[in-house]
Amino acid sequence: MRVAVIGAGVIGLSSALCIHEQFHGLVPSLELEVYADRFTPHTTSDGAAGLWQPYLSDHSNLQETLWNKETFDYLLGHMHSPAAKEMGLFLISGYNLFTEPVPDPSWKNIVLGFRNLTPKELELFPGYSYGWFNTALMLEGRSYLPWLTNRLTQRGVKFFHKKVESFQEVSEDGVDVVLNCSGMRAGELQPDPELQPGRGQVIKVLAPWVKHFIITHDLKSGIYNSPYVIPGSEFTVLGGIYQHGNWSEENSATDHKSVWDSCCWLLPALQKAKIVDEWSGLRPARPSVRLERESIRLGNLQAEVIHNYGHGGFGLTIHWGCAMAAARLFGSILQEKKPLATPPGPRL
Amino acid sequence: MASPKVAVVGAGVIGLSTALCITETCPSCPVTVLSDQFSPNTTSDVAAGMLIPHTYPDTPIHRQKQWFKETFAYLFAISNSAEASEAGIHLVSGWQVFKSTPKEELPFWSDIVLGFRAMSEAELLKFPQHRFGQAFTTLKCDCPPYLLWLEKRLKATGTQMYTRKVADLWELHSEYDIVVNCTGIGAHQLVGDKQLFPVRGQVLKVHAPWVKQFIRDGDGLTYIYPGIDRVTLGGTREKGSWNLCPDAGTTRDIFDRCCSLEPSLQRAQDIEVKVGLRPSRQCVRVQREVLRQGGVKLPVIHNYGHGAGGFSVHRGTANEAAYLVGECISALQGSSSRAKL
Repeated sequence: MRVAVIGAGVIGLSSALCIHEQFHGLVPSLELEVYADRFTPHTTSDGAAGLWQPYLSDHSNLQETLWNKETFDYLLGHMHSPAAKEMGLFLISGYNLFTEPVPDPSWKNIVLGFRNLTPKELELFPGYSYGWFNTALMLEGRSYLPWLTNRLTQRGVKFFHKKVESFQEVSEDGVDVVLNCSGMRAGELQPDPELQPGRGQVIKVLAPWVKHFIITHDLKSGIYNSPYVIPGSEFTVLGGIYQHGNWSEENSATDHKSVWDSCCWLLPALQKAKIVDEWSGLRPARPSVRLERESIRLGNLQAEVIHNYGHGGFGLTIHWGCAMAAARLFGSILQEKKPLATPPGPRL
Repeated sequence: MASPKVAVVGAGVIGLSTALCITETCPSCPVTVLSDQFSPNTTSDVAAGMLIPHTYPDTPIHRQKQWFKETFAYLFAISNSAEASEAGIHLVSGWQVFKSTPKEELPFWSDIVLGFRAMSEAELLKFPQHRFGQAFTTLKCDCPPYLLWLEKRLKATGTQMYTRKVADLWELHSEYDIVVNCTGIGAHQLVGDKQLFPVRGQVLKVHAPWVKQFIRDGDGLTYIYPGIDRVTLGGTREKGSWNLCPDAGTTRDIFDRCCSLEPSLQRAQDIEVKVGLRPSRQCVRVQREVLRQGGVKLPVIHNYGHGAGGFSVHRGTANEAAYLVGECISALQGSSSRAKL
C-alpha cells in the first residue's frame, strides 16, 4: 500500500510519522513517501518561532482545542526524554499583555501555572493594564523538522524533492492514499477560497538575556498584529505582523520598522540587540482546519485523500492532535479497503 | 576640611556597589576603590547572582527584608531600561522544589519577588521526587557584566580604581580620611574577624541556551540558574573549607544532581568549573568603627559577611554603608569646625 504525503512542514512530517508508527506493523506492505518542493530549513514551520500557544479564542471550535491539548500533553510527555533537546523542545514562561481585561482563553488549563499578572508585573509593561502569565513549551521547527525527518528516514520512509502538481499525478503513479499537508499552497491542488495567507514578518536577533516570551494583543487589529518577543535556543524572534490576503514572501522595510520600533518600545534593552536575520512567511489561514477525507474520482481511478491543512499561525501548537486525527482517518480507509479481513483498530 | 577622601577596599559586588552609593550620597567626596582582585576574578564572578535571599540567623528579619526590597527595586528599574543587557540584569522565572514541605510556607521575601505562588500539581509532575514547590519570577545579575557596568558608572563619577593588596587598614590612614571595608572573605585576615568563615561553593557554568527557567532545590544545595550566556549549575556548601581548587568528583556530583532535576542538561556543552568562598557570618557586618593608634583616629565602615546572599542584599547594605559614611563625614566636619574655633 503506497501512501504519499504532500508537504514536508510540521504537518506533513508529523502526520507521516504518526501513520507509520501506528500502521506499519499492521500493514506490512505500507510504503510511505513524502513529496515536497521545500524541505527544512525552508518551510513555513522553520520560520515560526515555535511557541506553543493557540489563538485567544477558539471560536467554539472545541475540536481544535482538543487537538491543541493533545499536542501539548504529547510534547510535555517528551520533556524528560533525552530527545527533547534534539527535538528543539523546552519549557518557557512568559506574558500575554492586553490594554483591557479579557476572558480567560480556552487553553488556560492546558498550559502550566496560568494566572493573571500582578500590578507589579504590569509595571514592566507601560501601556498594558491586564495580562496573563503561564509556562508553555517551545518547539523549534528548525530542530523538530530534522528530528522528524531522521525518525522517518530510520523507518524507511522515502523523500522526494518534487512539486506535486495534482492529486491525479500521484494517483496515476499508483499511490493508494494521499495526505494533503500542503499548507499555504493547498489551493493549487484543489481550489479553496477559505484558505488565505496570513503574512508575517519576523526579525531574528541575539538577545540572550530575554528569558520570557512576551505577546501583546491589540484586540482591534487582530492576532499577531501587535508586537511579540519570543526567545529561542539560539536567537530571539521579534514579530507582530499579520496581513490577511498578502502573498508576498519578500521582507518589507515598513514592516521591519514597525516590528523593530514596537518591540524596542516594549523592551528597551532590545535596542542593543544584534540583528542576525529577517524572514517573511505565509500562515496558511482558514476559518477552521481542514482535516477530513475526500474520495476523488480521477478518470478510472478513485483516490483517497486525507486533507490536513489550514493551521494558520498555530501549526506547531496543534500538529500532533491533527496527526493523530489524520491517522484515525487513515485507519478508516484501511477498514473500508479490507471488509472481510478487518484489521484491529489502530493502537492509540 | 576639604571633602574627605574615602577609600573602599574590595571590588566585588559589595565594594563596587558601596562605592557607587557613596558617590551618590556624597558627590563631593573623592572615592577610590582598592582591591587585589577585580572582575572577573572576584568571588562575585563565581556566583550566579540570583535574587533569592539567604536568611542570616542574627540579623533582624525586617532589616534583611528592607535590604532585599531596596536591592530588588533598584535592579528591577535597570532590568526595565535600555541598559539591562549591558548591566547584565534580567528577569528569570522558575521553581523552588522541596522533597518535604518546608517549615515556613511563605519566605519573608515572597511578596517582593514577582508572582510568588505554590506550584500546581501539574507542575510538580516534572519533579517526581519532590512533593511541594513554589513558582516565582525574580532577577539575576550576571557577572562579569554587572561588575563591569558598576565599574563604568564609577569611572564616570571620577572614582579611581587601583589594584592593590591592602594588608592592614592602617596603611591607608595617611592617604584617606575614611575607609570602607568591603573585603568579603578577606576580612578574616584583614581585620581578624573570627566570626567570619568561608563556605566553599563549587559551580559549573555550562552552555545550555534552551534552559530558560531556574530550578532550585529547597535545600539550597542543587540549583540551575540560567544566565545570559551560561547556565550556572550548583553546588556545594562546605563550611570551613578554604580550598579554591575545583574537585573533579564534586563536578560529577553537581552535574548528576542537576541532570536529575533537568534531564536535558545531559546535552550541555563547554563545562567550566569555578570555586568561590562565600564570606559567611551569622549576621552581615554593616557597622561603623573608629580605629585608634597613638593619637590618630581612622573611621572605618564595615560592609562584609554577606555569605550566600550578597547579590540579594547588596544595594540595601551599600545604601546603609553609604549612610554610615555620611555620618562619619558629618562627624569629621563637625569636629574639624570645632577645631577651628
